[in-house]
Amino acid sequence: MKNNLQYSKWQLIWLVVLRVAIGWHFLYEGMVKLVNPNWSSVGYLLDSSGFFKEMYYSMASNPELLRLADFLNIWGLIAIGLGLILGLFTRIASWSGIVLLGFYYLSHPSFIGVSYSMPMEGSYLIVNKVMIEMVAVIVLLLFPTGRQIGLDRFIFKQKNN
Amino acid sequence: MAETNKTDIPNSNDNSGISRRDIIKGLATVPVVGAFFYGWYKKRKLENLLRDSIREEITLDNDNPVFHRKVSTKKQIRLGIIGTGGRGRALLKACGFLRPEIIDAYVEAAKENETDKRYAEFLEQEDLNIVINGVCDVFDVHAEFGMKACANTDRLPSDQQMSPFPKRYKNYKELIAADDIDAVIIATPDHWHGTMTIAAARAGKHVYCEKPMTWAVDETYEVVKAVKENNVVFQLGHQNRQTESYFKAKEAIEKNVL
Repeated sequence: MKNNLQYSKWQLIWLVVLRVAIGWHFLYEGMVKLVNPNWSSVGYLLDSSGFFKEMYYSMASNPELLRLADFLNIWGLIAIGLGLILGLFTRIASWSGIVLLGFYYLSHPSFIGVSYSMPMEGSYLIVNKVMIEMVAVIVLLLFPTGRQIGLDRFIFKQKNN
Repeated sequence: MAETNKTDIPNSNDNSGISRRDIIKGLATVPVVGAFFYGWYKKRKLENLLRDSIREEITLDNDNPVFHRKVSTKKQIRLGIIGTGGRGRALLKACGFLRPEIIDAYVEAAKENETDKRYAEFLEQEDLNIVINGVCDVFDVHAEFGMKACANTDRLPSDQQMSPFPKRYKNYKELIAADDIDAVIIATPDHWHGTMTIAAARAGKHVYCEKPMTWAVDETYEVVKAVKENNVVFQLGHQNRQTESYFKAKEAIEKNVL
């Protein structure tokens, strides 16, 4: 994949803005869960529906797996958020973000005839905001900016040269 | 795009280390992290302020209610129980008395499932310093169950040392008249509650009666009258009222929050 695409000034600015905004969202979601001692993914997992709900249920019913899911959720969100904002290991952060968002979408897909006890904040048919955020991170992965605006500029400088 | 040549690419630079431009571009988004945590701090502060001010405004303290658990160690209270069906035996359990067979089942269940803590929790139940001297039930099976539970004073499984069985009564009037009973638990079918409470109060026995107290309003006044005239302690089995949420609700009402 081309890592050093040449962008116009405005293309670069808005790609970076998109990256930072998504990173901000990830970071805040992670921090909120981190400071809430009562937070657990169990409610969300048990509210799952769609094709993969059995998998999410089994995650919720296994205490060790649940602890792991909680830990990866909190620190994954924080790490991905910081990675996207700072442009630090942007590629890994993007990939991880896509996987995490994919998990979220498959847990609560906005399919026809599927309803949830946890209310969603909008009206959706198949496409919801989780999916749009995931698609946006895929775009960020394919149009990388971390090595231009971001700490990856330092990290990957030598290698590139 | 007309402007594609305007942005620079790291490896298009000459490789003479890190330039000033590199530093600016590399660190360009770092202030966002600062902005994030500034926003984070402001939001948390506001949330804390709101929470504290609401609490202050409604003057509810954040403490847990205090339960005054004073179990007398001096005088043992001697009880009789009228009605040892399902509810009666549940009350006996709350008093600390379970049939050995039930304990056997708890022990077995705990062996198979380590999260089954029923026996451990039962053993931790406080000792109320009571003894049950009389059991009254017209149904032999229930009476037998009740007596076995009452005799299991050490909370043991089967085939262990039991205390003597309490006396079994077939008529509640005889139990109420007994000299070795200070107070009665009434867990009979509902239509008996008022009648038995009045009779017990008149015999000078204190009463714990299952809900409902009576089936008719008139009878309710009779019960109150009998309790007051004979100066006995009466408690209706509204045990939910001793849960924390009710104490909080009471506090809210008393402080005029609602």
